Amino acid sequence: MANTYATNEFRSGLKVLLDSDPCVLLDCEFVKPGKGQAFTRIRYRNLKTGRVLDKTFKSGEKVEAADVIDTDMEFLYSDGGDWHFMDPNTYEQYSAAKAALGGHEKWLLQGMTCGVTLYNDAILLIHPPHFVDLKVVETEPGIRGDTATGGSKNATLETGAVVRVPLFIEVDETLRLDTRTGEYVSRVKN
Amino acid sequence: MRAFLTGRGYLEVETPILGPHATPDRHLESVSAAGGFLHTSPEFAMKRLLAARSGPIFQIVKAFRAGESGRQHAVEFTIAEWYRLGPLEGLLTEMDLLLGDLLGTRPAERRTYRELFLAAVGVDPLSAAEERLQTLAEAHGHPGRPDDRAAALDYLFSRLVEPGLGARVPTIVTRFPAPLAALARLSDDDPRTAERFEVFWAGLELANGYDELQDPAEHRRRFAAENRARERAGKPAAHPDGRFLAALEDPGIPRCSGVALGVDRLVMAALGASSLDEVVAFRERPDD
Repeated sequence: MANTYATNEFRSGLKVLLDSDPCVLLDCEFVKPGKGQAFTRIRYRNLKTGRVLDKTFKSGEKVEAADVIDTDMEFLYSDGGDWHFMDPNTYEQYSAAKAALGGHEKWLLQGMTCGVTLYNDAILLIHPPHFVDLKVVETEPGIRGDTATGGSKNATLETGAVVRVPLFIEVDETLRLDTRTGEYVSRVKN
Repeated sequence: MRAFLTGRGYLEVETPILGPHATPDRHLESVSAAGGFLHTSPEFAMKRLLAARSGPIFQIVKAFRAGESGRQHAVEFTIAEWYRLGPLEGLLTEMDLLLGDLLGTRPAERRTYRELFLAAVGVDPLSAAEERLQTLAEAHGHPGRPDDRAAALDYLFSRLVEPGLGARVPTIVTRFPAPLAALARLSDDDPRTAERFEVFWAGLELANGYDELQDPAEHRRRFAAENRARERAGKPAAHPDGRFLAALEDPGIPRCSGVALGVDRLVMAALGASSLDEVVAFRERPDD
């Protein structure tokens, strides 16, 4: 028998199965109009689709718990079809399909530690670090001294990601990037 | 509040918090204690005093409702309840004065349940088919099909009407549909509505009141309906206080109007708080 939570146990952060998908509760509120029936209204994020939705339960209703764990893993390699990670504590290896990467594969470098959401002991989502340091492998020659005009150009990084960078950036420089916005932050001293 | 009510001729009373009877209200659960139950409001005991010709009375007391816990609900809360003789009009005027006195609000607007419902939901709560109301409630996220007309109305009102109430001035909602009469008398000029009102201000439902039902036979019918609903929902039936029923028969309660006001919510409204946590010093919950 699966573990369940009744509405009075709902808390934000709880991981539950809704519409057969793993979801996290973001907000819950007990509502009871006038002399009417009590409800629990929740806002939740579907962890598979990322969509945020609202739902109303009768007080006392139960939902199934989702076996969801957030942990950290080391990125090993990609074979093109799957991305392979390792739990640094157990050395157990996990593979993730492209959907779990959510476009973040372009930031992953061998040995990088990533946040991983496991659902039923399989990778559901990969969360790269908010900031990553990556080397430029290709860009137009830099314009020395131009640190102020604010012009920009494309640079290809060692992971294959292409980002907009200031004109003074050179090949072989290491850059700090914000993976949430995909933007250049600064140069990093080699 | 005490000064306001005593200044207007109300007598402050105390009635037992612990008694032998649970509430028959289908949507309330009494807290059991010491072989009996804590009251969910002092309503029945105060009506026995009215039957004994107490005249206008008020009480500020803790009340208990099992399972209610949230930003606007607590199992243990403070209720102010008062009754005056005569029909609703005097009570509504006084309620408006009290809000102005305590919260500095401008005069309340009065709206009938029907006009608010028509404007926000687009159907007539008094004449629309039960089916139609149930389907609408489901379409607006009610979990499953509402059991009956009352459940569908309550849900639609709370979802679509309440969020717009009491924004600039307090809103007094009057003439609730008869299925939501609780213990209010039906309107003399339209048996589809009841002389029940609620007060909304600052996003909060502050008070609920009635032109009080006097007829003992109608009391019995309504209590029986509550208990049938409780049984359908798998809840234990609760038999109302026999001494209250006896007092309704003889000597009977005088024509009177009464209201219950959530004191903690009143403090929330006064301070602009969004949760009871901000106005109640101790919020230990029984399950903590």
